[in-house]
Amino acid sequence: MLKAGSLKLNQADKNILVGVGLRHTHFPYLESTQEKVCDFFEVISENFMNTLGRPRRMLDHVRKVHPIAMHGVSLSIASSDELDTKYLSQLRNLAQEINPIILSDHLCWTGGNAHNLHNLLPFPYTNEALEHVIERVQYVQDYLQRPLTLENLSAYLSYNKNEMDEIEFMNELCQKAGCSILLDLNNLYVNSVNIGFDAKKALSKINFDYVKQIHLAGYSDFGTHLFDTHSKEVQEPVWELLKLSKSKLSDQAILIEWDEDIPEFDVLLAEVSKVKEILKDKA
Amino acid sequence: MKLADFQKTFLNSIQDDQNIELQSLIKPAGTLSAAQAIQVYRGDYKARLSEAIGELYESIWYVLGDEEFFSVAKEYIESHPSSVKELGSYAKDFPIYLKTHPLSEDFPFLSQLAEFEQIFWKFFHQAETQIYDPFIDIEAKDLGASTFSFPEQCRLFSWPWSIDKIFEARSGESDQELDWDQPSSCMLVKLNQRISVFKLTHHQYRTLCNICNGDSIESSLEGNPEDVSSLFSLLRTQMIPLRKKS
Repeated sequence: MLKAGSLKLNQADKNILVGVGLRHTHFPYLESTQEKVCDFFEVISENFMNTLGRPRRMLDHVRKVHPIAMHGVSLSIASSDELDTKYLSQLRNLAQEINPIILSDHLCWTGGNAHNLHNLLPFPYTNEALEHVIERVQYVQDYLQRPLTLENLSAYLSYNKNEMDEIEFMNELCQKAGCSILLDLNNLYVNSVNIGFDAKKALSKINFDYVKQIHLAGYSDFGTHLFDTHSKEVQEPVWELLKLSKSKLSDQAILIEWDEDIPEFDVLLAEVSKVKEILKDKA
Repeated sequence: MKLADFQKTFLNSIQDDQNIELQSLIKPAGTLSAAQAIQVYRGDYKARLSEAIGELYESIWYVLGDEEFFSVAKEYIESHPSSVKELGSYAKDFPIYLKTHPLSEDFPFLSQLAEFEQIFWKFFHQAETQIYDPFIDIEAKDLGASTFSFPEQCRLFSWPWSIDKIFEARSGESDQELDWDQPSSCMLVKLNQRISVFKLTHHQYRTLCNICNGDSIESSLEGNPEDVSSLFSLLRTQMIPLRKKS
């Protein structure tokens, strides 16, 4: 078994963590070891809110030696419906038990309270929406008593009368609401191709003081558009974006995301090692 | 356009295939048309919920095969918009839905099979149980008059069909001939971290139901001595954690 930790970062990079998602495919392997196998694990918050069974046992097992980041998909921070207080309460309870290093969700809405579409949906980047999201982020952070980190989306359509782009929206949101950014470089690249903008220029606009976490994943090319499938290795254009970002990184957590056609754990660790190789050459 | 109006239009467009209102408000990704871009989200919604139903009711998928399973899942999704946050909590009413579905004329056990699998998943997500020999500290002379309560993660079932057998076969090839036309009884129980299904004779089922209802061991017994002996052997060797009352 390859040990990701065997590859040491430079002193300057010592605070950057590189981890993977905790997925049930790897439970048998992880149950068999007490060792630290990566710098941290990220868990999908909703998968652990309503269980005391095997998933929760596994989480308790890995968190004995690994820091945990909680990543949600249902907060629906940009929804115009009321915040779901039952969901927030469950999220707070889990966070209090797990004490995650990062608590994140997506800058999106997921449907209405009466009709959840179970998807990360784009919304208009307007001043009205910005004010609305700022207010909700502040409420959620107060309620959870933790800072919130929000991820940029991959989207297959956008509102045609946006008053700003996603990055301007996020920078402004972080400044006014005190939250931070989970920068998904794969999403940024996918959107740059789908919507038609320069990913490198967009990257240069991001205020890295707000970036707390980075996601790396693989996309699929459907011919008509790129799709954020999380089903393969990180592709070259996304590695390029990481290389461009590395001089701005200091204490972020970087995650390899793989949710479809999940391979053996070794394959994920090989991706973790690639990240560490890139960061090692920081100077 | 106001955020709330955009989101309302978006939701209407996902719910109604014929609704084209959103098309004029958006810029589609890549070389997709506006209609195709909206279809990405429409298709995704149905795919995610179908996948969730497939994971929660694998045994129904096994019985019906792909075509009929996805057809009934689609009907269910169309008539049951999701209001849950976590996909594992969707389709709670699927067993009830199947009860009156025309497919139940061909497969009269569908609803009960779905209910059985639902309870299986409920146990899966419950905390592990401690196991112990339920009779270890009871003197033989006191056993007959003793009464017991059942652990929360233990359920008794009796059906006119071989539901436990179908459930057991659910991960296999679905082109096998199903022999489901036999009555069956069983106990579903979570022991430590493991969920087990123990086959019971009808008399053993009746005996356990009596115990569960608060009758003493002595007055619960049904069936011949072999039934009784193998039932008590099962309870002891598998360490089914019945709790002695008072």
